[in-house]
Amino acid sequence: MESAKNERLIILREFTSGVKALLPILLGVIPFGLTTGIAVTQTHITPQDGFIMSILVYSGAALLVALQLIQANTPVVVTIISALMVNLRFLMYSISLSPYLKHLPQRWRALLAYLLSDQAYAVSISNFENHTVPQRGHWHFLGAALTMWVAWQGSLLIGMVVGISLPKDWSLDFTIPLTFLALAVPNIRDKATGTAALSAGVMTVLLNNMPYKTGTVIAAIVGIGLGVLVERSNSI
Amino acid sequence: MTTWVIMIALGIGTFLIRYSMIGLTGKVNLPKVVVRAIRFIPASMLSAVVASQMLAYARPGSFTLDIPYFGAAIIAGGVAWKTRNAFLTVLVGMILLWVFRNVLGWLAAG
Repeated sequence: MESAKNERLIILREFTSGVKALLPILLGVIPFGLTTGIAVTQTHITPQDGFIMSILVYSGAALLVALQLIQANTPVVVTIISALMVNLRFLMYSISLSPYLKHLPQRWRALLAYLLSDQAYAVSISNFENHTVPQRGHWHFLGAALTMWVAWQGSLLIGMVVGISLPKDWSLDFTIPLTFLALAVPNIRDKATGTAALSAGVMTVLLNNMPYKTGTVIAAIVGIGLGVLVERSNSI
Repeated sequence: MTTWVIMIALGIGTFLIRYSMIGLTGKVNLPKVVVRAIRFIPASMLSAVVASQMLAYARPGSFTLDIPYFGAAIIAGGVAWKTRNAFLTVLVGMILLWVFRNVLGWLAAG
């Protein structure tokens, strides 16, 4: 009896500390969710559809890439590949988190995988790494990830509802490239990532006439390749 | 209809990316070169996306349309670099776009 009560207390404490760890980040997340919601409506998607799509995909960047390419009549396969490329970064988090979740049943892992976001990862990884209570860190992660999910979907929905009624002559379509600019720049951390970003950008312009918007994906692959090369030449 | 097919595929694909290594713990080890390459995906792919989107605002011959968009994007990029704040980046970019467009409008009218 006593130990079951203790267990519940530990779980509750972990969960709450996860929620609390994420709260300060919401100061940046909510306004960005609002502007991303506005950006989504610039692709002629209704808030209802956008909301269902966002729950399905749970990635603002992939959603925006896909919606823009659909609007440009890009072939289905190219659209899916381009949008998934944006999300391949989650593979990085998946690798990093796997040792801390391996004791959990698959349904737990599946739930936490769906809820995985840049922000939840950021606040939970240090908790996993320095944890004193073994095998309870997933409750902290759940608290952080759920808080992020609710805040993101809520602010996106509000942004979409507001977005459809904003005047056309405000040029709000420009929030789309600005959104991606805001996501891209913080990934430039050193010479190697800078080379990757710059070469991918330049290659996109050069490959602009490639059929079916395939230039973007090819340019990104060139950028990744050059980034790896620069990193390797630095480490020798 | 196609839109929903794409969205469902994206939903499944994105989930599988997130789930991959968490679900397969210990059963598969990715080659070192793959792990190394993943680090460069966000910088490369997102920059490529920005470049392709900005191309839509490049309208040769009409400077009054080009300068506000590109000027705003370059300065917003600087804001992103300095502050790493996504919302501030979008906000500054939009305000600059409106300001530049109005200034150029006055210049053209005057």
